Parts: sequence; structure tokens; C-alpha cells
Amino acid sequence: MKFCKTYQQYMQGHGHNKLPSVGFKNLKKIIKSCRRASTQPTCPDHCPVCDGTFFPSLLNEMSDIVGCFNQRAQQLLELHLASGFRKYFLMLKGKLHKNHTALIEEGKDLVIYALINSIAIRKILKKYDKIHYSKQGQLFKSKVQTMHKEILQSPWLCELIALHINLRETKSKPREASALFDGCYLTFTDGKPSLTCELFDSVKIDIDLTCSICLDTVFDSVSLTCGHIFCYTCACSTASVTIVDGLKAANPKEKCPLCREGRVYEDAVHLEELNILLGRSCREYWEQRLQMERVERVKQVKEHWETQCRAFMGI
Amino acid sequence: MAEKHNLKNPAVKRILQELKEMQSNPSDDYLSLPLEENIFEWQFAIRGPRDTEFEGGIYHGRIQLPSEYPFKPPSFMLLTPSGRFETQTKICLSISNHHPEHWQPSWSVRTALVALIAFMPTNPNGALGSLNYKKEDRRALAIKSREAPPKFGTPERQRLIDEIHEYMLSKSSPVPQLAPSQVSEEHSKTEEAEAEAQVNLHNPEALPAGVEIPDQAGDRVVEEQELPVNVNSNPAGVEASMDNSSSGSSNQLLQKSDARVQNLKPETRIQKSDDRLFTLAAIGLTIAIVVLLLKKFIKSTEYGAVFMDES
Repeated sequence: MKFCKTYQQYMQGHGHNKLPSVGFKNLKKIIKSCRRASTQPTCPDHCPVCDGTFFPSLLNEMSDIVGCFNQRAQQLLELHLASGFRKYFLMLKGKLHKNHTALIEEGKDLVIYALINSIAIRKILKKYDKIHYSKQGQLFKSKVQTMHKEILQSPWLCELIALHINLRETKSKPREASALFDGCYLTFTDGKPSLTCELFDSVKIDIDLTCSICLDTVFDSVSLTCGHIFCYTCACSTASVTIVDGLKAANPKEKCPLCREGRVYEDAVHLEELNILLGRSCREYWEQRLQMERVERVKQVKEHWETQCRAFMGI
Repeated sequence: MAEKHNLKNPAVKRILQELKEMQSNPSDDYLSLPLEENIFEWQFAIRGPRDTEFEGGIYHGRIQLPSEYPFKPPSFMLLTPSGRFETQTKICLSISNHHPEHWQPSWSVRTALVALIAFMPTNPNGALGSLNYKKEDRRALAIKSREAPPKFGTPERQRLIDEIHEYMLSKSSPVPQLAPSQVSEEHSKTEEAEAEAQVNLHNPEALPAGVEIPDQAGDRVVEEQELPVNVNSNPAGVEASMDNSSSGSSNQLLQKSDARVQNLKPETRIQKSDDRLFTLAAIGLTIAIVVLLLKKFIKSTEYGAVFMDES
């Protein structure tokens, strides 16, 4: 079966959620109309149909998809991570009525939604390049990545996969969860962890959980807006800020150590679910690292307050 | 080695990780090891890139890692004459401490050595510590470099240099000898050919053949094989197909997982200790409020009863 049909069936099946999707048919029509409009075999550099219709409409759809996914993922994670007064507040609001299985179901749906849409976007851009004998589709894709509209860049995808594994492993009655999606797992290759997620037996997403700064498993992980994951202390050191000040205080000129993209620190996301997962999966390492981090953080806090006191005293 | 060093220092930890990684994935094109007395001092040897005038050469050098490593770049010094870089002089590269603005903490000693090999056949453009010898001179130096390792530093360092040299010789192929006609042909070639080989670290496509800089930016890879996607008309079919595929892989995971992964007791909720305290505090407060309200209510009903009796 063609992917287009598979995609449409999936989206129709989840129509009750009113989720935004890629308008496959509409975009194909635009490509065909462009083909008819231009007499040349290849699309010119400034094609009114492509520049004015195809790419803007695809960009809008991608923005809607990413926005919707991020919002729903955040809500779901908030429900799971809520505790203390926040938990009771949500209970009063009536948001915390969902049980364990319902959370797993919704998490699974969102992960599939993210993956299936990323495939759909890839397919439509491949088709565009194939028809126009161009690389405009690839250029558009890289442009979208710099705009952070690529769904696979979203830190919430990583969090959802971690949430899924956490919920699955903490289930007291595994029989109830047997029919649920089980395509996400934490793998260790040569002691290096990575999150793996599979779809249709043919699509596989791998998220490396090794910090490329300390070359160790990420601890107190944080995802920059470009999608790269680092340890919180490593990210702070790279951004030339103290742990006390945090990444919000980072200079906008500071770049990501991997992709050299600027303005990636101020909106960095703390990956709480991932921390829980790694804390449970690598207990010894986590405890050891926790002790080391405590010492480092106490030292930095002392230094920070000493400088604050000196400044206050006018020394 | 790890026992001697302060593992609380992030730079030391990172260097030890790199050493471990270098030993687990050795290369025939380069070898680098730290000195026993100082982990921030590394000794290396690189093989001259293939299909160039440096082919067959073994070039030794030293790397000085700063105490702020990997946030500050290392400095490089070559000890073997190559005709491309000056010896015993800190060389200027986009990966060295001459250009800290280009340095990325995600780069390592390995990526630096790969880059150094890639830089060898390029045009020096008057960079610090660079030389521009003729091709035949460079070829002669490449052949000479195999004869004996350079003499440099303390006896401990010299021992390490000798060990590295022996390793590189054991892994190397014989030096290609060119006929005089070929030499004259090559000598007549213009500098344009050299300019074509310009290497840019940020553009790995421009690297010479056979030289690759490890890509560390690819965190998330979506692999898509051209497999037929069989999905039923209902979306549940998607879920079912995914369940089947993943159950086998999760079994494999249980078998192959690292020693660090432990069997975990099922818990109904994952919570932090702080959150538990908050929860307990909330429960305590609620109980206290309820008790107070009950007391008030009881008192009020008692007074009411007394008042009624009196009337």
C-alpha cells in the first residue's frame, strides 16, 4: 500500500483528536499545477507556484504539526510529572482523571503521530525534488531545521519516548499493557545508551544519549533548541555561565557545540523523564555522578555567593 | 592510569574517556597516547595521506591539552620534518589554540588528528608554522621519516615515541617509489591542483579521498529501508505491526543490555524525595484543617444543645 493512503487512514483514524496533518493531496495538486505551468522540464529558481503556494503551505502545516505536538506532549508530561501541591491542584481541576494505561496510549499515539508526520514531510519533499529535478526540497528541509520546525528536533519527542518506557516498566500488571505499543526502548551498545523507536518495521529513530562534551552518559540532561542533548553542567560550561545563573543567562552569541547554531540556550528544556529513565537504568553510574555533581554545584554556589557578598560590601 | 588522576576534574574525566575510546577503536592512520606522568600531554604519530607526496611517511608530534579542555582548544607541535609544517613550533590550524573561536568542545584528539592528516596536502597560505617545500623534497622527507623516530624530551617520552613508531611501522604498507619521469611530471604541475585540495573542517565533503571526520552532529537518525508497509484499513493495524516488531527487539535488549542496567522493581509512581515531602506536607495540612473544622463544628453543636436545653 502506498504511504499516502497509509497516512490518510492513520489520520482519519485519529480524526476525533482534530490533529493537524500534512495535506498530501493538496500538495500533490500544487506540484502538478506547477508542472503544467512551467514549459521547462525543471522548475526555475523563482517559481511563483512553488515559492508562493507549495513551500509556504507546507511550512504552515509543519508549524501547526510541531506546535500541536509540543503542546500535547507538554500537557501529557505535566500530568505524569505533577506532584505535591501541583498534583492536588490538577486533581481539583479534574485533569488527573487519566489512568496509567490511558497515559501510555496517549504517549504512544503522540510518538506515532510525530514519526508518521516526519515521514510524510520527507516523502512530499522527495517527490518535489524528483518531479522538478532539483534540490529545493532538501534546501527547504535544512531551512526548516534552522527554524526549529522539524518534529524530530523537538525535545518533547525524546521526553515522550522516555515517558513511554518509564510507564511501561513501572506497570504493576504487565498483562494489561500487552496489547500496547512497544516500539520504544533504551538500548546499550558498548555501554553507550540510546533511545530507539521503530515504526512499520522500516523506520527507526535513534537518539544518542552520550554527551559529546564529557563523552559520558548524559546526566541531568538538557536539550537545546537545536535538538542536541547535553549534561546540564556541560551545557552551562559551554555557554560560559554558572550553574547558579543557569542557561537563561547565556549570551545569545554562544553557539551549540555540535551544530554551531546561535541562540539555543535560553529556551533549553530540562528532560525530566529522561533523567528518571537513566537514573533507574544506570543506578551505579547515576549515584556516582550525583555525588560528583553535588560537590561541583556546592563549590559553584559558594563562589557565586562570595562574589555577591563582595559586590554588596563594595570590596 | 585512572587511579593516579583526579577523576573529579571534568577535563581529566573527558581525557580518560577519549583514551578509552581511542584504545577500543584504534586506527591504522594515526596513534596517540598520553604521557604517564602528565595526562594533558599527548604524543602522536600520523601516517601521510594516501595518493599525496606524504604517502608512506610517519610524522610524530605532541599535543598539549589545556586545563580547561574540552572548552579550550589543544596546541599541536610536529617533531618530524615533513616539508609542510615546521618542527618544534606550535602550528596554526583552525583546530588549534591559534583559533579558539573555531574550536568546538565536541571535537576530540581523534577528530583533531583526522583533520591534521587532511590539512597536510593543502596549500599553507602563509599560516604560522607552515612550510611550502617542493613535492620531491616532501617525498624524500616522507621516506626518511620511516627510518627512525625523532629524538625529543625525557627518556619516558622518548620510550613512548619509539613505541608509537614501532606500532606505525608494523601497520604500514611499503613506501611507493616513483619513477624519475613521474617526478618530473609532478614537478611541472601548477599550484592549482594543491588549491583544489583545500580542506574546510565545516565542509567534510571537501576532504581528500579516504579521509573522514567523524560526524557527531547526527544525534537523531531516521533510517528508512524500502520495505512494503502493510497496514490494515484501521489504524489499530499500525499499532499491531509495531507491537510485533518491538517485542522481539525488547527481548534482545534484555539479553544484550550492559552490566550497568539492573533489574528494576515495578513501582506504581516515579517520584522525587522532595515531591514526597510536599505530598506528606499537603496531607498533613489537610488533616489538620479537617480536625480544626470538626472541633469547631462539635463546639458549636455543643453550645447549641446547651442553649436549647436552657430554654
